[in-house]
Amino acid sequence: MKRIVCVLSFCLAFLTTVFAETPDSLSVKDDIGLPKNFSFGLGFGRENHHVSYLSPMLYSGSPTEIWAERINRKRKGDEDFFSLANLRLHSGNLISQSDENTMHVRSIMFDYHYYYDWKLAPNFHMLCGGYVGGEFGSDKMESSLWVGNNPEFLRIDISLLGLSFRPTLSIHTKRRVIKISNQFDLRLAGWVHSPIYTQLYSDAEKLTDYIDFNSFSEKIRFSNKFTVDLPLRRTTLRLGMLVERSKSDINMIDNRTLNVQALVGFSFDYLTKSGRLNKSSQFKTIFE
Amino acid sequence: MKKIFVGIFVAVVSTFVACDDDLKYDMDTVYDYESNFEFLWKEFDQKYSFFDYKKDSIKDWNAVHDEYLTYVRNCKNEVEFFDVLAAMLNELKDGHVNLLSSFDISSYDFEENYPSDINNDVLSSDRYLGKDYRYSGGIKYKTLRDGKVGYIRYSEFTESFTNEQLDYILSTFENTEGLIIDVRSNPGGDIGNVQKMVSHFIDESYIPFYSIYKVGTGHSDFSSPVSCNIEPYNGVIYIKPVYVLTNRGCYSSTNIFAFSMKGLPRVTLLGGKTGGGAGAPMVTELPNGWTARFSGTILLDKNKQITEFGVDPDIELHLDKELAYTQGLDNIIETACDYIEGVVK
Repeated sequence: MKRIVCVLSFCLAFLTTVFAETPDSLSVKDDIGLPKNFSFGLGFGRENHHVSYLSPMLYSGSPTEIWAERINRKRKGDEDFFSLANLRLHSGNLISQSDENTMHVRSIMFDYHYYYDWKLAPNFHMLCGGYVGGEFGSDKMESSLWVGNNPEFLRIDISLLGLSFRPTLSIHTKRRVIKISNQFDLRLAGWVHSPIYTQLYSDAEKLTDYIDFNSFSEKIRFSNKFTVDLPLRRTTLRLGMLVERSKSDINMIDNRTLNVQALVGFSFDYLTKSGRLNKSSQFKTIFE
Repeated sequence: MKKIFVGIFVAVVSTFVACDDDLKYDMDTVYDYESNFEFLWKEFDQKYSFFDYKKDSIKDWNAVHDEYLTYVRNCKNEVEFFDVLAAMLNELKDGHVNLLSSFDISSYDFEENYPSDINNDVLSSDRYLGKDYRYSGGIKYKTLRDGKVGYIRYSEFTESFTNEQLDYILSTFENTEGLIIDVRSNPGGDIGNVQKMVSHFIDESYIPFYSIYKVGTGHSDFSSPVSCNIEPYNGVIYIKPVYVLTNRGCYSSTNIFAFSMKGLPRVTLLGGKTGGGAGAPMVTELPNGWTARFSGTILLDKNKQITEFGVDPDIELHLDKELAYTQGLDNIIETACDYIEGVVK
């Protein structure tokens, strides 16, 4: 337990260091006055996972995630644009219905989104755009009975193009701003690293033997992340729910994932820090 | 606006949170004999790689289904059910096919009706390995016939060795006239060890085998062959005559080692036919948690022939049991030594 806490603390500290910028450092940039948002936290939930290369069975379990997200606001002429970078470390031990074998799921996911800000109302931003991203990890079977040559499946998925929408509603209360967002991502095309049906990884001499370009029809992957930023006394709490689903049949390997997670973390806008609406300040939160 | 927003969210979430119902089983079904039988039969039908090659030597898989379904329906407990499934899988006559449960592991006896061609008591007597052999990386080695013949006993390809270890072993045989590599009753293991060992007996780049794998669910859906290339090791290469001793117990990676060594300029296979096992084993799982192992690919020898039923030796010779029992002699080793010393030509 102590080791897990140490690792989590290190990861959070690392992510905070990587993403965080102080107001001082912002002051030398051109876009001072355009606040940024950084959030990080943990995810807990339920995952259904199926990789026919490893097993014809459906595996389920409760994975955990560490996630971090940064949003930048940019202005070009009269129009506003947003960029969003998202990093997730995903880990879980899943079991089949018979409870005999275990599948260890480990991956790191990164995606970069770019949005046009379609201002439908003063407090409602409809962000529309696209994203690129990647997922790297592996699914590993573990069983006292296993003696095969296919104990592991590599999860290498590059999303070359995807659609992304993120409507954001800012609700002004007496002293604070509550932000509600719903980010929907839909993968359109990408590359997947996959062997062919019963092909073994050891049979390929080159990594490129396994790379498959696939479109929306071959690999469906979408996610929906609903988040609420609740300003508290000195910080802003982010609560949310992530629903993520992918389904592919590439090289005759049926691969399905359904991941539902509750998200808990912290969010802060660089120039207001606490997320409070401070009317005496020239700074505002990112979606104001 | 808020209502629209919340409405969109609810619609999106409810649309996407759909379960993979076709992969889920009721707990009653998870342990249902007939469901598990159908599941296993279909997995093999779609993934097992030797149906086409063995069509004349095994029963038709559809006929096997119909025959064993009646047995399954009569099963009274899971032990009986296990035995029926195991018997069904043994129809494939494949040593790489196993059914594994928490209480038993089934296997096909590919050595049945073949001479064993090895006597471990004789092998461990002072005349051969005795107690003064050296041991490195899973390899027992010493010299025979007053240092004229090098002898290597490698009993499992699961035992890994490094090239440096093999370098050292072969360098101790510098003054020998020839070498015996005894892989009798070696059940196989890591194919990487095969490649490592072969690389010490070749002078130039060599393609010892090819892999083909299934690209579809049909019995004949295979990829084109993918070659495996071995380069000569940049260290000790043994350049004197080599005799590889084989028997029916040489299976899987050892079978690959046998056909990789066979035909090399200075190498002779001596003993019995190997056990075969020319497909890399993969694993699948049943709803009840049992696992099944099967050949999922096919390995072809350098002539692109399938050796699933074994590799014939260059010189067929079986263990003389009477000689072994009465005089403690292994006539296969003795014959190899005679060839090396030039007593027999």
